[in-house]
Amino acid sequence: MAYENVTHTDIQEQLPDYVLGLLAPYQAEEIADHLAGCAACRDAVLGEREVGALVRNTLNATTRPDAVRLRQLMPPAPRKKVTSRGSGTWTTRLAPVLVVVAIILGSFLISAPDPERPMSLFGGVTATATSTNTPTATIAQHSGEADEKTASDAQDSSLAIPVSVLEAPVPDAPPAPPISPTPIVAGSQIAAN
Amino acid sequence: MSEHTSSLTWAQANTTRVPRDEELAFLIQRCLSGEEAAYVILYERHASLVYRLAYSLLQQREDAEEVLQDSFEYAFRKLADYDDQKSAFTTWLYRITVSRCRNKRRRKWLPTLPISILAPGGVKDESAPAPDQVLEQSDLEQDVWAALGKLSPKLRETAVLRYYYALQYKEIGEILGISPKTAESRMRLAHEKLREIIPGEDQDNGARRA
Repeated sequence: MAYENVTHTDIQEQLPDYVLGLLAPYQAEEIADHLAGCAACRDAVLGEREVGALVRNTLNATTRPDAVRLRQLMPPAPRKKVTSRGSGTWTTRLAPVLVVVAIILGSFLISAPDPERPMSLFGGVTATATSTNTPTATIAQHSGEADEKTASDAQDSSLAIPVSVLEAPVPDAPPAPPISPTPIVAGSQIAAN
Repeated sequence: MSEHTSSLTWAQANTTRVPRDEELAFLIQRCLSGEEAAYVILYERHASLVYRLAYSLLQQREDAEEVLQDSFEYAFRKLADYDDQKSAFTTWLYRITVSRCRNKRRRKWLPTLPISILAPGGVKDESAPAPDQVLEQSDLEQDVWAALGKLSPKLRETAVLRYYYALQYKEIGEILGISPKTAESRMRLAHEKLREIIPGEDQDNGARRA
C-alpha cells in the first residue's frame, strides 16, 4: 500500500485536509484505514472536527433570527408581472397602434360620400352605416335638403341609421382618440371626421 | 467522512425544508405571474438562511437586516433571470447575499480612530452580539464569534459557507466567484487560523460541549 512509506507525521499533517474534505478519494480512504488502528490520530481528527463544530454551534446560537422581525423585513413583492427577457413580441407592442390606425382609416372610409345619396350631419358629423333590422331613418342634410323617408322605407343598408342614434343629442366632434396601450374594441365608437 | 458530512448537514435539517426543484420551479412561476402569496412563501423559506449568512459575514445585526432586505428586493426583481439549469436557487441567492455584504463592507470603510479617546466612559462594541443574545451565549461561543471576526472577509466567507452551510467547494466557488481550488486553499487557511485562535483542548472540555 502507498501509505506504508508515509510516516505517522505525514498522515497527521493531512488530517486537517481529511477533515475538511480536501483529499482525493483514494487518499481519504488511506487515512480512514490508518485511523482504524491509530488512537492518537483519531483524537487528532476529533480535535480538528471540534473547530468546525464550535463554529456551527456559535453561528446557530448567535445568528438566530426572530420570526416576527423576519416577516417585517420582507420587501414588497414587485407590482408588475416580471416577464422573462424577450417575451414581448413586436406584434404585441404594435397591436394598440395598429388598432388606432385601423379606426382612423375606417373613419375615412365611412365618411366617403355616397354619390347617389349624399348626406352629412350637423357640424359635419357622419354616422357609421350599418346593416340592421331595427327601425331606421335618414338624417336631414345640413343644407336643408330634407330627405325624409318613412321608417319602413329606410331599409337601405348604406344609409340605415339606428333611431337611437338620431334621438340622442348630437355630440360635438370628439377629439382624436389618443394612442393608448390599452386595446380599443373596434366599432364601439362612432368615428367622426 | 460520512460522519463529518452528516454533522455538517445538520444546519439545513434545523431550518425550513428547501423545496424540491419541481416545487420551487412552480413556486417561482407563481411569483412571476404576479401572485403575491407566492413571494411570501419564497421569502419565508429562505429568509432565515440569508439572514444567518449576512449576520455571520458582517457580524452586526442591523447590517444583516439591511442586507436581507436588499438581497430579497433584488432577487424578487431579477427572479425572471434565475436559471435553474445553471445553479441551485440557494446558490443564486447566496451569491446575491455575499455581493450585498461586500458592498456593505465597502461603504462602511472609513479611516478609523480609537473612539475610546472620545468616550472615556466606554464604547459599545458594534461587532458584539445584541445584549439579549449575550445572555444566551456561552463564554466559548463569544470567543468563537470573536475569532471569526478576526478572520479576513474572504476567509470568513469560505469558513461560514463550509462549516455552517456544508457546501461543496465547487458551490462555494460559484457563490464567491472563485475557483474550487481557491476555495479549498482559503478553507485550509481559515481552519488553521481558527484552530490557533479558538481556545485549545487544554480548556475544560465540559464547557465546550454545546
